[in-house]
Amino acid sequence: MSNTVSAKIAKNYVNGVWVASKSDRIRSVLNPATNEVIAEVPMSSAAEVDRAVLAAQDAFYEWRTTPPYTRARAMFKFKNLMEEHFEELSRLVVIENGKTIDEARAEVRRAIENVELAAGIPTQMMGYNLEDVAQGIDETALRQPIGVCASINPFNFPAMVPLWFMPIAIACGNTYITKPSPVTPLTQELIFALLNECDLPDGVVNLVNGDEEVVNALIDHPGVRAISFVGSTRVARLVYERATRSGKRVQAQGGAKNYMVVMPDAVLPQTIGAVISSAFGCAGQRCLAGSVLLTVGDIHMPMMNQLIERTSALRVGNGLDESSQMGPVISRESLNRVCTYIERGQTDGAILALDGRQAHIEGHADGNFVGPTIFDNATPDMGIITDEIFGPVLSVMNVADFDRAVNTLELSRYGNAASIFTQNGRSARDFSYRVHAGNIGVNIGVAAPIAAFPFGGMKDSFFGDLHGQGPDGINFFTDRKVVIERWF
Amino acid sequence: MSTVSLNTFSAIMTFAIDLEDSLGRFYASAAPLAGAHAEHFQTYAAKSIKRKQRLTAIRQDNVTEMVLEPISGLDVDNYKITASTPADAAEALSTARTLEQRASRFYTDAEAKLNVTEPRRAFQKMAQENEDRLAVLS
Repeated sequence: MSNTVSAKIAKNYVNGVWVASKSDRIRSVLNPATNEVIAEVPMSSAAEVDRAVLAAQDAFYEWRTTPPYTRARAMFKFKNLMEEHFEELSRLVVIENGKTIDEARAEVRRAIENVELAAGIPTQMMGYNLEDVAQGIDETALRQPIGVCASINPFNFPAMVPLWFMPIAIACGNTYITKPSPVTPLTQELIFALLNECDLPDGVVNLVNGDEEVVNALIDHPGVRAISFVGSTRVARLVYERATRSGKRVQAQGGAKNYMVVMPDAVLPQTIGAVISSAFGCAGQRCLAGSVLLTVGDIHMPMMNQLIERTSALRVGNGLDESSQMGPVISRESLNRVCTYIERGQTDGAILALDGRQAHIEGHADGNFVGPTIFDNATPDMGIITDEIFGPVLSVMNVADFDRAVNTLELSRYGNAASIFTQNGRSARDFSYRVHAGNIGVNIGVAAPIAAFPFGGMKDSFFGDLHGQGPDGINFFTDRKVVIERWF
Repeated sequence: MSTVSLNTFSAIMTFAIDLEDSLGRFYASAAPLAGAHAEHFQTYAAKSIKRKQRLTAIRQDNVTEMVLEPISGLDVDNYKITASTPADAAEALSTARTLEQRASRFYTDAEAKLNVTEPRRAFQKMAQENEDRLAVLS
């Protein structure tokens, strides 16, 4: 099983060519399963961001006047190239992120779906009109691209999250700058290599690797009109505040603490499968990961018994092994943080029903592995309940009834996703109606909207108005203009 | 062929792809020795290529994190196939029947473990085709 890609220094892609950053600040890119160095990535400078913005500005007029059908054809070509390189992309996601190959394939599939959505831009971008709003006067609503847009991306979905934004943005006629996570830059490098084959005019898409300096340069640059961000709540808030201060349009997705409510009438075998997938899939490093389980009434004990039995059987390992059901967390720091939270949960008085800290993976002694961990008897004030751990830790609370379950989860500052498991339509309907979360699952553990629907949270999980994907994506990346006309 | 545990969607799909590869190679190599069934063997060899393409497409198109759940209860030893080029028509026929039985059992058992419609339908169809071949080869 090959874990490695050729070690190299990642490049930026600006104005249609690959360019080496002049920065002497270099970070290593590590394979989380082994902690081997697989590449190096430069932390580019503000001046390098400026060059990318200028290239994108220069490209904007030609691109926005390119017919939507022509822009759509570029998306079809991009989609076909991604399909051809599906396995290569999936393996690269595994190698730099650590998730399982199943999860990586699912991610790449979702990334492609966003390109497919963008390929429909000729109809999706259409406006509307009305004749004779007054006698002889017609009114038309148009959509127009807004200019140079940029995204700042997280490590946990290195293929999918950047493509929540970029395909729709450029299909709408905007030009674009992507900043990948410095932890997982290689997938976007491959994706840009594919974009390089799509006959886009120079400057339409640009990639700048880096860290905080690049982020601030993008946010502050007067030539950038819109920022899309996905990351922690702390940074999402900062990005939102700073970018809106300079008049930018912003969509900033933050952290999450997603609750799963299991009603007494839930179908246990399927529910448990969905709960395990939600809590421990991607090693809990999903913004849609269910990290708190609320059992309602006397389903608690049977649920816990079966949950622990089935979770204990999960195979943790290198994601390139197709029989691995959970991979490592992203970094040694992340591993330490997860372990610290586990200790803290014990200190706070929760019952450690399953301890993942002793995970030993043969041949991967240096990997960032922590097994699935389950706490029982947690309470709403504990750190394992209030904080986003971003690791494979599930905390369980038992409540007496549905209302208490909803009231408990509404205490959370986050509102990204929430799920209910029940066979009762009334409970499901009340849950969707009352719960403040952007994505609601009914007998679904990972409530991930497909590309045609908006994806975003509420409360401290989202800052902005328009979410990524779907109609929100079209609205975010276009201005609406109304033309009122009469002819003498 | 793949010998990993059949405990994930990808592991099951890859096993199925490898299984078709093995079946195809067997039928292609055994066809000249299969006597009255030579034409059937050639057809099955060609069909395995198509089935393999179909399974590869399913693995790529139908994996979704909404329902990507751990799978248990499939023992790979129950479905592994090994076949060398037979010595004569009788051995070719006997081996073919064994392989078809194993393949049918795999697709039937695995179909029950999958929770996505398209691969389930494909596995049902493939199990039925394996049963139909068994009837022809009997």
